[in-house]
Amino acid sequence: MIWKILSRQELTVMIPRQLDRTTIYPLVQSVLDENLNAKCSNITFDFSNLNFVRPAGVTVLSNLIEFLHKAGARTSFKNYEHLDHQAIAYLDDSGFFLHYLGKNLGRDSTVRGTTLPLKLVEYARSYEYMGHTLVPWLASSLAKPEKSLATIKVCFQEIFNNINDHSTCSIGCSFAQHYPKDKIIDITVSDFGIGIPVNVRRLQPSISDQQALALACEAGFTTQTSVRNRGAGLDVLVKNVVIRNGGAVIIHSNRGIVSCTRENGAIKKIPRSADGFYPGTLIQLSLRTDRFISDEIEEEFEW
Amino acid sequence: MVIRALDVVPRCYSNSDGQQLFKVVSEYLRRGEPIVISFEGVDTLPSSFVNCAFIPLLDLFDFGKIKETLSFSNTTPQINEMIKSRFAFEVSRRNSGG
Repeated sequence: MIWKILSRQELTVMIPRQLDRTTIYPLVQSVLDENLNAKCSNITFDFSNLNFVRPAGVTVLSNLIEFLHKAGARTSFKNYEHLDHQAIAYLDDSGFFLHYLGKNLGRDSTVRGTTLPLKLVEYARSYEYMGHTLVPWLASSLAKPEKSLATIKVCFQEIFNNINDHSTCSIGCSFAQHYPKDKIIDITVSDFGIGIPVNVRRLQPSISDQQALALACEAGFTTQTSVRNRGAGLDVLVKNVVIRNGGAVIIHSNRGIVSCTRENGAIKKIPRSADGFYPGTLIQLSLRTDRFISDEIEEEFEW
Repeated sequence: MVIRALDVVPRCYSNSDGQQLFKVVSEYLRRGEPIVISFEGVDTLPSSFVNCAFIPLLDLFDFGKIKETLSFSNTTPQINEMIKSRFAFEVSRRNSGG
């Protein structure tokens, strides 16, 4: 896919006051048009309004910056130096400015124990990322042995295999935050590929984006975009997080959103249309640390 | 014959890892020789891997023959559940003409 830069002018974009998955649409639309062309060649992100950040907001902002760079646009930041603002300090501690400016803003900035910092993960390195970074961090946050997290680990393997098999890009942006008081761990992985609905519509051309997302979470549904792909990835993800652990899965892709929660022991899936267009897919897993069920380490196989 | 999966593939993760293991397993089944795949050192199996390593056996062999000839050792509940649920779904889909 080739993206264009529509104007050689400069554009300043305000980062929203609350940077989370609910505010990603105006942010994306302020810099990209419907065909994913960059609106200007020089884009400055202004952080002066930023007051609160969630993991989904960090991964989307990062994906957006990476996408603009790929299209040939330049990005810069403005009004980001205020470390006395909690949201800026949080971004700094999370490695955001280190990644994009080459250095932390504060001399004492350090990754918080409750944060798994921003990471752009290429598929080729995703297996090692999960085994050496993500799962050890989760094990520490949940106070469980790594080996007992198999059903959660496989969820991330499904996400990265989906990115590689279906999205036409091979990089996922990952970020996670533990909220001990709320007993919740939010983990977000996002990509700027073609999105799930585009693949589903190859089989069902008239389906809406939100219906496509709900269908993609059904057992055995497959778009067979890869020769040997037979589905089950998102289904496994939803079952393991929602049914087994009482957590939640929320997927944003193109113009659709589907949220999956547990109700009366079953999966309650709510598809809805989004307030805008999201290029690619954003998956947020919310794990309840007080309901987390460890896996048994061994079990004999019987047909 | 016991074959350790990690002696055939570097990891049990992707479609292509599964395809490599499929070549070995299908050859044993073609010869009618029992085979046990050991997952020693493997803690998880994603669906892409299972879909490529084992499910295509259903294109070549009867499910009854697969169950007689192929087994697994050093498994975890996640590994067992993934293999069995993928086979159950595919066998049911094929039986119903899906």
